Amino acid sequence: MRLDTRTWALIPLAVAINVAAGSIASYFRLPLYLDSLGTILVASLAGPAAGALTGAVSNTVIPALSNPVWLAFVPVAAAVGALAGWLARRGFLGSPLTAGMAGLLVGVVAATLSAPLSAWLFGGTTGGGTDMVVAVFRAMGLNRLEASLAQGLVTDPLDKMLSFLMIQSILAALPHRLRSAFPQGEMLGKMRSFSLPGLRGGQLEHGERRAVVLAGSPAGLYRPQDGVLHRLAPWTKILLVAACALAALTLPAVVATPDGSRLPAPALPLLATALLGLALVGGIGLELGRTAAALALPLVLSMVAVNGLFGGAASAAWGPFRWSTPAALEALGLGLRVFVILEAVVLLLLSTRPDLLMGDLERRGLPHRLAYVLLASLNLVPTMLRRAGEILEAQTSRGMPLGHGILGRARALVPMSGPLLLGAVSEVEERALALEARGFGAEKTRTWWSDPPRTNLDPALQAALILILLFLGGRLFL
Amino acid sequence: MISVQKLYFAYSGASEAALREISFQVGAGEAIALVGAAGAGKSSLLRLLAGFVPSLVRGERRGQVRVDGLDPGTARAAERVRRAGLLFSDPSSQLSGICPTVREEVAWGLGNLGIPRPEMHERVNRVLARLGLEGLAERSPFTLSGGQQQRVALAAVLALAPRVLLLDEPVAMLDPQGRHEVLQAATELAGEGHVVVWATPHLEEAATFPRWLVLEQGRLIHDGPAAIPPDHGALEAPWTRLARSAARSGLWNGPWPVREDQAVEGLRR
Repeated sequence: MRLDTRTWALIPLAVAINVAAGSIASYFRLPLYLDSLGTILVASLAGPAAGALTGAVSNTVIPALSNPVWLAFVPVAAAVGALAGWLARRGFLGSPLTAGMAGLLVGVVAATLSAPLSAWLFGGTTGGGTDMVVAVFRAMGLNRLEASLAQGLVTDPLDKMLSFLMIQSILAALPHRLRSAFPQGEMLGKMRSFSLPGLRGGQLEHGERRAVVLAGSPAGLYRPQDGVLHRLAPWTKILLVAACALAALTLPAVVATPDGSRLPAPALPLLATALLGLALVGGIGLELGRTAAALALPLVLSMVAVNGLFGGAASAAWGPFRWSTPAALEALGLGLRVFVILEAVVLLLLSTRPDLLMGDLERRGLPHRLAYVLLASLNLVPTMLRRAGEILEAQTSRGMPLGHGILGRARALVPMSGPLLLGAVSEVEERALALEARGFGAEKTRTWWSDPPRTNLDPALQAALILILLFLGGRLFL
Repeated sequence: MISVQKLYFAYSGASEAALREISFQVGAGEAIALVGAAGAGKSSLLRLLAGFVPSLVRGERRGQVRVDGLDPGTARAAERVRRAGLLFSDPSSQLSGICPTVREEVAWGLGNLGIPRPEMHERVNRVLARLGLEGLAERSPFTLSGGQQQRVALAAVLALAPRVLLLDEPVAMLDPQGRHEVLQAATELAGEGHVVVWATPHLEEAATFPRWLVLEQGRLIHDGPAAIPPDHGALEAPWTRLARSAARSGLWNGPWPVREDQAVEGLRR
């Protein structure tokens, strides 16, 4: 993939905007995500490939900060970016009307692609607030896939339409020089400008500055320790994650007992316990237990509850409520698989410094520009969250009403997110030039200050893990 | 070292040129101040000298630019950074944002150029010592003050051993202590044989440099000792303001002063 340095410099800013805008939307308690604003910005200015990359990087970086479930939706985020870039190239950002249409289309595509992933990987739930919507559709008689799709179609088109309208509004207001400096800037054509409502006079609302606490969010899950787990080569731990993922997908989650009933199989709980033991040895047992439980419990409970209440043949009924033990058990099995994968990913992230992880991957063939984008995105998130907090302070001190009700709060999103986007576009030139001034574009084989960590155990562990991977892979495909 | 002949530049889509018919020469080891108000063309000129036109900055360029005998606009990335290093005003946007320590931050550019590890270590340690950053070598760049970050950014540029240092308002975002640190480092580097071009709208800063190039609306209106033409009103130092007040009372007649000694000399006359 050949992107210019300006685009490489914009992508980390855009990923951080995705995270910050998503935080703003959740701060305002809105049924919107806004977590593809940055992706649509890059896609519009730099084309489908850059848009797809931004979406994919965004869903790879967010797991390192908070919830690994996002990893499963990397293909959806990439598709949103690619489609947004393609639509922008065809002039859909020329007016608010066509931008809204583009958002609608992208929203429908995103919902359609997410639904099977959500249904098959997580039983139709993701442990978030939208699970309630899925439960309502299941109660109406829809199956897992249909309920996931219906939930997506309720929220995604609205979210993407608002995102496209915001990007259209901002790009139309950009000076031609800034816009045309990007690869696709000239292709956007003449843009009809309009102003989204939102910034109106009003009373400063007391106590609405809590978003400033966003600035304190941790950058990544990594917890420094001096144990053997931290000293292992990052590559060893990546192989461990791969082996655990493959084991979680291939080992039986449920076994049939001699009397014909079905029970959870011991293999996955044993694997989960072994990972916890490894974390205890590494001095991060408590963190792993706490983080994995905080991330996985809502998901697993939601999976079991939604599928037990609304799926399969009823085992028991209480008035209007019915319960299906086989469906709940199947969901629990699926939940255990997800838990083990999530636990292994969290173990890697808790015990591996992100720069050492990327450095090891770079030596194994990850393009250095991609490694740069992943790490810079991760490190820019706290900065962007701090900026979002400052913007909230500035806007509220200028009398921006934060509004009551969904529409009032949605209106307040525009003056909050607009400065984030404009700031990114205007600072990207200096960032790009600074990168070039340090040889970012030089076509040389990279060298490093030091080698990634390595212990005497690593060669044997890597060999063993590769053998396990081959064995499990063989079982899966043969 | 730098040769510019009849340089014209207009940004893509812009109605007016950013630079018009600019010509000047800078010899090896010279330190100059590039003085001008916002929009005068300082940053555009530095981007051309650094070779970012047309690869990163699009527009129409005419005339000739040579840095160390080579047109920087046609040079490959690795050659370009060895000829000219560019430092901007915002330190946070110049750091790579991916390195956990100052030492690795300074080494990052060398890694991009594929410099072997022993040479990388030698250059990084030398430049950290040169800028007094040894004590910060193991600190995270994110935890430093603005002035310290800007010195790290300067170290990262210096480690690439450029023959020309282009500094684009490098202290605009720093506090007085940070400004002093960076200005002192730059003047010392000039004394050690680097060509230093320091762009600023502030005459007090520029007064440190013996030669000035003054830009106004894309034209070079002065090339010579630290002074601005009498009819030029956009640039003012405290001493210039004093002289303007004195001129209104008929007490001043001559070039506007930018340094204390020039003001005292002018009033004595």
